Amino acid sequence: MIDQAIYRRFNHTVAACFVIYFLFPKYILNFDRVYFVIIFWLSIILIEYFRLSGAFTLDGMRDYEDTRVAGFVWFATGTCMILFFYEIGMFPEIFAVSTIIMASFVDPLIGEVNRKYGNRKGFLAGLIGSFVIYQLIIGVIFYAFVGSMVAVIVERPKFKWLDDDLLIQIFPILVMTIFYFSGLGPDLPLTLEGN
Amino acid sequence: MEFTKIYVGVLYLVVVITSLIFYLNNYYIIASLLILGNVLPGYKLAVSLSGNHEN
Repeated sequence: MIDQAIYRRFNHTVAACFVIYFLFPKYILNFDRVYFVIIFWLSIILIEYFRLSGAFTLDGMRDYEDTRVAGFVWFATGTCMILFFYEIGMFPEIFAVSTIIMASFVDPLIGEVNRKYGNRKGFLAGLIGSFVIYQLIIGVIFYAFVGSMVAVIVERPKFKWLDDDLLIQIFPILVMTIFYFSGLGPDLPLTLEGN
Repeated sequence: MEFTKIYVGVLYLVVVITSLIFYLNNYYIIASLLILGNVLPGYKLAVSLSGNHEN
């Protein structure tokens, strides 16, 4: 029997591979690549609709997800939102790439450390993990600090109809973007090529 | 269970291929992060799938 918790964690960390999107050409088969994001998101919604209606079961689900929208839907929604807003020029590429990777790794990291060592160490592990990832990719301590702080703060509260898988992506990138475009944050290369 | 094993195999492939593509495009940090972030849960899952539970 597969370990459901580990299976769920691995699915979460593999989601970091979504960043391959940024290496895709702008047009695929004459269609703007953003259409593929929308098709992907609709496919996830369709799968979730049939899962919730009992048409099939999926491994790795939590018990309470039998009657609630599953974490993978929230995560895919957050990632697709980032990719969509990146395409319309709202989010800089460097923030989008780093946030998707950070959320993929840090959320399961916090979950594991919380489970084994308690919430305070989970918070600390999440803060260090997200700071290191942001610093390695963005290379500016200010944004690494802001992004990691926001990520661990929004991961804490639990809501029935809003999941941390979505919040841990949208809020850090939103706050970093506001700091950047308002001029309150330092300047930085906005693309992967610039780093 | 058989489907899950195939699916997990595909996930391993996705990680390796994506990391390789980033590496070949000279994005060494991202390639390394993708490998490092997936290696522990990937290993634990492989152990779980092989039926050798630690406890």
